[in-house]
Parts: sequence; C-alpha cells; structure tokens
Amino acid sequence: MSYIDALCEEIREAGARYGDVPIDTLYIGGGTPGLAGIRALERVVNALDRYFLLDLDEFTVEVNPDDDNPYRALRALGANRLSMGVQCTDDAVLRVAGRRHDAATALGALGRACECFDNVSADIMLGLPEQTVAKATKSVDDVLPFVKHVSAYMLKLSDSVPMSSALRRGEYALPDDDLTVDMYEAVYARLRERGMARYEISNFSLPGYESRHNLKYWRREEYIGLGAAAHSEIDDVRYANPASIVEYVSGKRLGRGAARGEPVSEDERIFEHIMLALRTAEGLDTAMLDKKFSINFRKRYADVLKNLAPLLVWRGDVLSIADDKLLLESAVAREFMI
Amino acid sequence: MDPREQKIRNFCIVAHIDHGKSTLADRLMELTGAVGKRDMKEQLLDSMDIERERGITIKLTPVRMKYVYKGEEYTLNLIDTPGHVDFTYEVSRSLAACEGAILIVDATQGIEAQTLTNAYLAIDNDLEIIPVINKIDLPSARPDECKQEIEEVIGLDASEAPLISAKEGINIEEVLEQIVEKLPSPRGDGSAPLRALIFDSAYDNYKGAICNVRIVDGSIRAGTRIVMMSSGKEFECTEVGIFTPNMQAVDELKAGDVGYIAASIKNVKDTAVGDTITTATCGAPEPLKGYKKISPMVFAGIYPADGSKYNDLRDALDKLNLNDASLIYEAETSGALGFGFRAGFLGLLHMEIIEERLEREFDLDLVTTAPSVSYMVRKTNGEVLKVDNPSHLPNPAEIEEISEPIVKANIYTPPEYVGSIMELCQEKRGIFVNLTYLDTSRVRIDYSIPLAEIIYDFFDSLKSRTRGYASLEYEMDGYRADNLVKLDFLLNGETCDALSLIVHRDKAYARARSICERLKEVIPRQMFEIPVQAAIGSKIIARETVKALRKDVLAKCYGGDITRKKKLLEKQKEGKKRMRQFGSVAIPSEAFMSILKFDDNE
Repeated sequence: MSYIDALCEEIREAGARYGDVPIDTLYIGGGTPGLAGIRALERVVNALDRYFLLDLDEFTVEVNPDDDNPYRALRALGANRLSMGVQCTDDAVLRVAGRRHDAATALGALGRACECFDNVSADIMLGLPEQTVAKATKSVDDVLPFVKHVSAYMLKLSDSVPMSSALRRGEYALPDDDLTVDMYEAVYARLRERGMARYEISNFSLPGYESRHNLKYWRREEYIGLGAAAHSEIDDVRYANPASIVEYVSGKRLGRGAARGEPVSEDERIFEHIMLALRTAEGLDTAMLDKKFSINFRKRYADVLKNLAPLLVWRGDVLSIADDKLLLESAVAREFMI
Repeated sequence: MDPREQKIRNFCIVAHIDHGKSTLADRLMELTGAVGKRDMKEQLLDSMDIERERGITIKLTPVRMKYVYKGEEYTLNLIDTPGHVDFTYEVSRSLAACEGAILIVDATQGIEAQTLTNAYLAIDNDLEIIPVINKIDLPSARPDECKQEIEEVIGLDASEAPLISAKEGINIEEVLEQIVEKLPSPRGDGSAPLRALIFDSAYDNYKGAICNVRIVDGSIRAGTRIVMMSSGKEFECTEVGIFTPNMQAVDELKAGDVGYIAASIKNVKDTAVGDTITTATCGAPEPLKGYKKISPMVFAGIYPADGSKYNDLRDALDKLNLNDASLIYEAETSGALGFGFRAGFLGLLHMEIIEERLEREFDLDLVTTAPSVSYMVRKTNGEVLKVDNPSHLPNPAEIEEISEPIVKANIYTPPEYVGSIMELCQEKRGIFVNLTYLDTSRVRIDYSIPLAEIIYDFFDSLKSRTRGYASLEYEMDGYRADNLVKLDFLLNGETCDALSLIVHRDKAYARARSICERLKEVIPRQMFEIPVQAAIGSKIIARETVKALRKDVLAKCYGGDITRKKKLLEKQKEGKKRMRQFGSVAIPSEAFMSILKFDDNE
C-alpha cells in the first residue's frame, strides 16, 4: 500500500463519519505535496470529492519553486490559491539553508504561478543563517509584484528546518533574536507600505486575501486533518495521526481505523480560544466566549488583565494584543494559563 | 592501672582527602567482624548521602571493634572526624575523645596539605600517632620516599609504618597490631565520679537526643540521674550502649569506653558538643576542659521557591534541627520573597549542607539570600541593635555607628606563602597581629579580620593562594566599628530587600557595579524594560538595564501545532514558577545568590 493509497483509505473512512458536513476550505500542504506528483494529487482530490460534501471557497496547495510547473494542472484540479515556499531571494542564504532552489527559480516560478492563479502567497523565512535585514526586505520587495499574501516566519533553532551540513557544523552564525526581530519589523513596515495588513503574527495580505482556511484555526473552528501527522478537531475532541509515514501507512494497511481522540476540556478550550485569537488582528471576542462557556471573561481574568494592561487593547468586548507588542504573544498567553 | 582500660584503644584516622581514610575504616571493620562483608556499603561511616557524594565527613559515627591480639581481646573504638574549618571545634572534641590517631599517607602522593594540617591537629591534641602508608599496590607507589617525608616534614618516626593497601586489603592486620601495641590505653579513674565527654549528638525518634560520649572517669548505667555540667539540666538515663556501628544497648559504660547515652532528652540543644555529663548526686566537681558554647556566625534568609511551601519548610527545619543543634532559625518576612526564615549557621559550608539537605531530603526548592553576619548598630538615640538581616538596618540618619564581628584568625602555613597570605589578609581588611616561626617548615600568622570578609571567600582564596597548604583557625574576638554602609538594589525602581547587603564604604562602588552587571545577566529579559540600580541611601551609585524582551512567540500555529504550543507554554510557565515575582519583575532564584560571587579582579 502506498502512502497515497493509505491517504485515500483515510479519506474514505473519514468521509463515512463526516461526509455530510459541507467543506468550504481545503489546504493541501504541510511539506511538499508537489513531490507526490500531479497524478497523486488528482487521486486525493477525487477521493475527497467522492466522500465529502465539497463546496470549496478556498483551495490552497503548497508548492515549492522547483516543482515541475504544476500550476495549470493544479488549477484544473480546482485549486484557487497557491502558497509558494520562497524563503528568501538571496542565493547565498538559500544555499546555506540547504534549499534546492535559487532566487531566479523562485521568482520564475512565482511568475508562472501568477499566470494561472490570482491568489498567490509567498512564504518568507526570517532569521536564516547569513541573512541580514536588507536581504530579508529585498526578498519581500522581490515577491511583492506577484503575490497578494505573504507569510513571514521567524525561524527558531528548534524548528525542524532542513539545513546544510555546513550549518550543522556551526560554520555559519544564526542571527540572534534581536536581529530576527529587526528583520521582522523591517519586513512588516515594507508590507504595510505596500498595502498589506498583518492579520496574524506571521501572515500579511491585501484586503480580502486573508487565508480563510487558516483563520479557522485561530477562531478555533472545527477541522479535519488527513494524512501522516495531521490533526483534527471535531466535537471538542482532538485527533492526531501517527507522525511517521511508515506507521501511518501500516496503520491503514492493518485497517486500524481512526486515531484515538483526546477530549479537550472546557478550561482548555477557553484557553485555546484566548491563545489562538490573540495571535490575530481581529482579536478575541470575549462576549462570544462569555456566551459560549457561560463565563465572565473580565472577572475570570481580572488580575491578568490588570497586569497585562499596557500590552492589551480593548475595542468594545474584543481583546487583542497591542500592535507593537504582538511578538510577545506567548508571554501574554502564558499569563492566561490557569 | 585499671586492667579493663588496658584492653581499650580509642583512636581516629586522619588523612588528606582521597588518601583512603574511609576505605581503611571499612577494612578495619571488616577484619574485626564489626560489619559482615555482605553488609558493607562503601564507606560505611559517612552515613549521609551528601557526605558520601562530597567525600567529606560532616557527622561523626563512632564504631566499636573487637580484636584478639596475642590471645587477649581488645576493644578498639574508632571515632571519625569531620574535615572542614566550619567544624574545627567538633573535630577538636572528637580528637579529645581519643588517645591516638592513624595518619594515612598516600604512597603515590606523599604528604599533602591536609596531611599536615590534620597531623598537627592530632599532635596539638597530644595524640599518639601511627603513620600508615596506603595504596602500595599502585605501580607509582614510592613508600620509602613517603617514610622519609613523614620523618622530615612532620618529625614522626616512620620506620615501622605499615605499608598497606586498604583497597586490596593488604597488611591491614599490621595496622590493628600497631593500634594495640603503640597507642596508649585510656587512663581514667573508674571509681571517680562520672565524667563523660559529649563529642557528638544525634536525634533518634524513639530515644530522644542521643549523646555520643567518651567516658573519661567513673561509669554510668540506665537509671542513673545525670546532669549536663554546662547548663545544670538534669535527666534520667534510660539507656547506655555502644556502636557496632549500629546502636546496641549495654548494661554499663565505664571509664575508657566510647558509646552513647540516651535520657529521653527532647532537644539536641541540651546535648552540646564538648559538654561534660556527670551524675546528679555526688557528681564531679569540675567539668572536662575545652567546652565552648558554639554560636552561629553566618546568617541567611531561607525561603521556599514556591510560597505555598512555607509550612513544609518549617517542618523540614524543625526536623533537621533535631539533629543539628548548631542550626538556629526564626520566621522572617521579605517584601521580595514572602514568608521564610532567617537561619544562623556555623559557616558557609554548614549553610550549604543545610540547604542541600533541605532540598534533597525534604524535596524543597529554596531561595537563599546572600549570607550576612550579625552587626551591632548604635543609634543616635543611644539604643543598640543587633542586625543580622541587612534590610533591617535602621535609616542611615539614625545610625551613629555600625560595628561588625571580628575574628582572631590563626593561619598556619609553610614559610613560602607568607607574602601572599599577608596580601590576602590586607585585602580583606585584616589587621596584622603577629607572625611566629613554629619551626623551619611552619609559620603561624595572626590577623584580626572582619568575619564578614572571612565568610565570603576567604577560605577558598587562602587555599588557592597556598595550593592548599595553609590552614585556618578562627575564633570570635568582639566587635569593631568601621565605615560600613548598606547597599540596596532596586529592580524597576523598587528596593528588593532580599538583595540588600552591608559593605565597607570603600568597596561599595565596585561591589555595586559588579552586582548590577551580574543581576543584568541573571534576570531574563521580560515584557518590560527593567532598570537595575544600586543605591546607598537614596543615592544611586550604579545602574544597568535589562532590556525589554522583543520576541516570545511561536511563529507557526496552525491546526497541528495547537497541542504542541500548549505543551510548550505549560513548560515555560512551569519554569517561570521557579522564579520569584517581585512587582512586575520575575527574578530567578540564583539572582539572590549571585551577589555572593566575586570577580577575581575585584
């Protein structure tokens, strides 16, 4: 059984359980789906179409600049949004980071993608070895003519990002937190100048081009994840598939069925709402929270709200982190942990 | 002479660290059958974990062994001794309980610093010394050179020194034979009134405080009414016994014996080391010489890292106190640290041991403030205060004069280190008193030094400047007024009382600067910028800034990341719990100890 066979099997199983729920966003990503080839993606999308009630407003596929020009085919499959892993448009940085593509490849790919897609997003990494503020902003400048959306991720050492062996040997210095934040702020300023708004810590877009799929995570809506390492949340229960492909496939081959779920307690759900919504510009609708969980948010967190007052902004009942303090999101969220 | 006493030998073993003291003790016990081989734990005498780990002896555990020599059975009592300057007095009392000592020298190392210190300590206590050369099984052993060194440097006849390997059990018998042959037997008077020297005490849950004693004169059995000669307190003896090394009750302890006395004593403070026990009726007119009331020298605040564990800390201190009469403590409150205790210790090592035992045996996380001494403050209105917590110092305007405890320090050293020792004493505000050449290889330097300077790092500096060859003894010698000021530290504009310390004005600026720098390093960047300032009174004399944290964020947080992110936040939150919240500033525990550490160039 191939991985795609297993995935299609899971789609069939999941469809049997949730097939009557209308699905309006689809995201194929988490790595390099392009590597599977267009035929494989076709099988997956066909399976989804067969077992689920698809009524897609947004259908994103993650692509890499060195994928073999799959844009027309993806478009034909029904995709209407692309997310391109550009990372940086400086060849030296890309080389040290162990990427297979160079800047010209990335920009060429973006150009071709734009011929087929209106809604293209570029992923930019910040804090890469040998990267500077100038190189980071240049990357943004280079991609802006093509994209309506940018995701800019500050790299952390612990992130499992493929690196060249030279980097692992410590021959290059990684920018420290301060420099990474400098890059982020420069990039944010540039994107703002060009009309893009920050709607989440790492996500920027022209008006109307926010990722509807990802907003659902931050609004803590339900989602079904399919494939190795995918997570789902349905009816306040979270499911996690095996992270290893081998284990995932063998599980499907042996007909083990769905992963066992972890119920998410009410306190945890409340906390997750806070933790996720505070990442966004739209913020946390505390009136919604009060109603949904029969709590009094302002009372329940009176001390925290007082201590954090300089970092927080209220718009009516909507709470968010002040624009210039958003990068302290984890520190803020921790205070809300009980 | 009493024929019974002729069959007793009371001795201790002295050595440089790692020269094999505990291993030899183990072999002696094994060979005399005091402990079966099966029950042998490595280094049986060091009963506490900390002792075994640090390789030092804190608590003395005596043991009685039976040995048959030329058809006669002898009783050998081995008394172990602690090995640190904090416990000099305890060492002197256990040596006073012996007539002889075994001096171990490592055949591969020869005489080392502590060999000398300990040998002189034994000589000064009039003990007969048997030199023993250990580790002769090692290829690099050079026993003949060792013998020569012992004769030349210490002046002991080493021609008959047993050549042994404690590890391999070689020639241990010879050591036992020499103990019988060469060490004098006790010469007490069995018919005189009881005089028992307390050389240690411990608390037993069933028997109460137990006195480890050497019976010098007379005898004692259960039922005897006894009196502690220093306090006059009376008790009824409920049990006497010996150490095998476990406690074993016997009918009677007589002159020359080493054993224990239990008398339903509730508090170890009533069993002071060095005190003499006699009978309540017809008791001895004079106590044994050498008793000193020991008082704590070093004070520090001890707080639970988690404020809700205050009661646990109190219970733990109460329990430790049962066994350690030299530990004193009282409740104290700190603005920064909440509820805790101010505790008094014999010295820094004692303090470290107590902290470690609290953390290990009672599973507590502690925050400890920098140690202080007890200052005498005369106020302008004539009132005199004792201040052992710097934050309790009165307002500078009300202070007429601050005096600090002074010690008479006697430093013994080979002559070549005299210069660097005097330099050190001078740096530590010492006043030179005297210099005596004891012989060609040993000099005694006497200084009058503030205790506050001694407790920080004097001992370590002394050891490092003399490659371990110098030894230090000190005793309290009153108070001396000096130009002392309180140095406060402000975090985010608020004085953090737990960081205050009293220093000499001349050293205040340098200390203030280096402590601010260190605090800046140990306080993690937080959501706000934190000024770290040092002040004398209202005058700021140093400043550093902990810059605001700019980034504390997980860049990617999509469906599959939520559980991971939550776990990460929980872990971080747990880590933060170990920090102290002072206003809006979180301070890690080590910040409070950081003001203790000195730079070498200071």
